[in-house]
Amino acid sequence: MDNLSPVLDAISHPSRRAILTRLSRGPARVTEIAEPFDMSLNAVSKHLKVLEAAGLIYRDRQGRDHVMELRPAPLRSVSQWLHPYERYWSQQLDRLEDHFTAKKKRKGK
Amino acid sequence: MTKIKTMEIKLERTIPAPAAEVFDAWLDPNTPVNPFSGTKKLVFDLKENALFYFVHHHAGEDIQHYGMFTAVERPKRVQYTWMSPYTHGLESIVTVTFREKAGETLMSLSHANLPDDDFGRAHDGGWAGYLKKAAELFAARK
Repeated sequence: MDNLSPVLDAISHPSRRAILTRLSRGPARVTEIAEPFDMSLNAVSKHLKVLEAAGLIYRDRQGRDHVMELRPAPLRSVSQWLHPYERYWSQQLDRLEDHFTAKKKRKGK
Repeated sequence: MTKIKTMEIKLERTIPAPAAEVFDAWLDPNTPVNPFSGTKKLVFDLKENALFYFVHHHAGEDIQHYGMFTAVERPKRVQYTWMSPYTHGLESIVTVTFREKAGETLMSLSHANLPDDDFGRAHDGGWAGYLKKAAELFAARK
């Protein structure tokens, strides 16, 4: 299963990266997160939902307040994907898989 | 001496062939579908406690790799130590298992004891650096 794409999608937007940077300093209410941004609360909420869906933040409902907390664990998959050996082994396995897929196709003809 | 923080990479892939064939293809330098093929200065002795060495040419650089086979259990499992400039002097460990089911093989590859450097740090704000890097890479892919 591809867990990486939602995380990469989530961090591809500069506002969402700024939100993550803010939350790296500690949990914050939605209104506090929205404060430095020149955008509507609704737009900030949409960004928060994307980050939440990617598992990068956790929403703690405290009565009417929604406090957001950073969950950096999914970033681990990004760091692994960026690691030279993650890419190296993926390429090696691609070659092996392609080799046998092509062989199977030739046999099938 | 400061202990280096390490990490493990795990990958899985289903290969459409029986385990013995996949095992042999992965460990035969004459089959061009594995890390040992197409390399320079190859030394390769596939048995337990024997050694391998090769030079992999990538992006204009020669990258030396060497290690020792610590388990050779055809067609189920192979394990070898693995050293290269990327392991920063650490003896990393590659373990590959081959599980056959209905004529196909689930290959699981683990590369453990790798130094957790550059991108791997998720503390001291270090993650922000690779967030940026990931975003740049992602943007480049679009």
